[in-house]
Amino acid sequence: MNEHEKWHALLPWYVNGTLEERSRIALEAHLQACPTCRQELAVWQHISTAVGVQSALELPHDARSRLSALARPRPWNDPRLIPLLLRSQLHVIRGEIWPASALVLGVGVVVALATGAPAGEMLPFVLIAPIVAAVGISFLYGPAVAPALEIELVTPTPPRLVLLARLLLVFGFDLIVALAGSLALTLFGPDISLGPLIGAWLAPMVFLSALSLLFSVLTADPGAGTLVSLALWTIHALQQLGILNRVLKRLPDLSAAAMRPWILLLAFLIGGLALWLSGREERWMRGQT
Amino acid sequence: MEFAIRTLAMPLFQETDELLIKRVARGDSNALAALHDRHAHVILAYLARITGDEPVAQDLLQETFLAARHGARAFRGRSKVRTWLFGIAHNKAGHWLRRRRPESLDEDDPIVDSGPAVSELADAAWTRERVTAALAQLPQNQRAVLELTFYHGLSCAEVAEVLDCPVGTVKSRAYFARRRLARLLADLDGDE
Repeated sequence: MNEHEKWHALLPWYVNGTLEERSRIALEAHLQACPTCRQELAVWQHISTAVGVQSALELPHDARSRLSALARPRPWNDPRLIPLLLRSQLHVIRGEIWPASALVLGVGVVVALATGAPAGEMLPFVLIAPIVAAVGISFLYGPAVAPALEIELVTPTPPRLVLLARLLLVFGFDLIVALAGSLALTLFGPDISLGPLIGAWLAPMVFLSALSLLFSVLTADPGAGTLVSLALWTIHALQQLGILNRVLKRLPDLSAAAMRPWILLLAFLIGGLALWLSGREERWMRGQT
Repeated sequence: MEFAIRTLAMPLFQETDELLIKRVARGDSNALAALHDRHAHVILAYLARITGDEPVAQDLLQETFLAARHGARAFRGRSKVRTWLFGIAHNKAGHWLRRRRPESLDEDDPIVDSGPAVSELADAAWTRERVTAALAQLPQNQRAVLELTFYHGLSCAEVAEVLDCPVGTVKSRAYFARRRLARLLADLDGDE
C-alpha cells in the first residue's frame, strides 16, 4: 500500500462523516497538500451523491400487520401444531439413529434367544435397551443439529418445545422397538413373561436417557451424554454380572424392582431440568444471528 | 401537524432500541412492532437495493424481523440494534441471492481492471441514473459496502459488523467497488 492508498482507504467514511476525529484531522491536513488525494476525494463525493440520493421505498401498508400476525405466539395447546412440529423435527434428527437403534435392539433379541439366557432381568436385551435409547438421546441437542437454527429463527416455536418434540420422536421410537423386542422374547423365548421383562428395562431406560440429555445440554456436546450414560451403565452391567462384586455391591442396583419408582421420579426431575436449561440459552447460537 | 408533534415529542418518550430488544426477547410483540416502525423502512430499502427485487425485499424484511425476534435473546449489545438488524438482513439477502444465482456475485473482486483511471472520467459521467445502472452490476458485497456507507451512513466498523468481516476487507471492497464503478461508467460512455 503506497502513501496515497493509505489515505484513499479512509475517504468513503470521511465523505459520509463517520470517520473518527483523529483520522479526520490527519486526513484533512494531508488533503491540503496532496492534489492526487483531493482528486480521489472528488470521485468519492460523486459516488456518495449518486448512491446516497435514491428514491425512498414505501413500506407496504400491511407490512406491520403481516409481521404481527407471523410473530404472534401460537397457543401451546393448539393440537394442529403437534404433527407439524414432529414432522419438521424428523428432518433434523440424525438419520443414522433410527436404523442403528433398531439394529442393536434386534441383535439384543437374537442374542437373548440364541443363548437361551435365564429368564427375567439378566437377559442381554435388558442391558442393551436402556443404553441404546440414551445414546440416541444424547444426539438431540448441540451444534450437530444446528442446521435447525434457520428454521427455529423464523418460526415462533420455543426451543424447549422443539427439543421436547425431538425427545418424543427418538424416545418414542426406542420405546416401541424395545416393546416389540420384549414381545418377541416372550413369544419365542422360554419362561419369559412380558410384565417383569418390561419392568426390568423401562425405568433404567428413562433414567439413562434423561441423564444423557442433561449432560448433552450442559456441555452442548453429544459425546458427554453418551460417555456419562455408558460409564454408568457399564458399572451397572458389571454389578449385574457379579464382576468386581466387593466394590460394586455397595452401590444401588438400578434395575432392582424396589428402586424403580425412585429412579423414574429422579429421571423426570433430571429430564425437566435438562429441558429448562435448553431453553435458557443455546450456547452455540451466540453470534450466529 | 400531528406528525410534526409526534416527531418532536418522540425523543422525550422513546425507549432506546436496546430496551426494545430486551422486551422483544421476553416475547413482547408490541416491542417488535415498535422496532419494526423504527427500522423497517431503511432495512427494506437496503434489501431492495441488494436484491434488486422489491417483492422479494418485502418477504426478506419479514424474515429479518422474525429472525430478530428469535435471536433477541442472543443480542449482546456489542453493536447498535440497527447494525445488528442490517447484519441479519444482509444474511437473508445473501442466502436468497445464492439460491437464485449459485455462481454468486459476492466474490471479493480480484480483477485488476485495465480501464481508464477514475480521474479521467468527466463529472458528467457520475449522474444518478448512470451510477444506479453501474451499481446493479457490482458484486453483492461491494454494492453492500457502498449502500451501507452512503445510503445508510454507517461507519467503516459498522459496515464490517453488518457484513461480518474485518475492517480491512470492507476497505478493500470499497476500493474494488470504486475501480469497477469507474470501469463500468467508462464502458457506458463507450456504448453511448
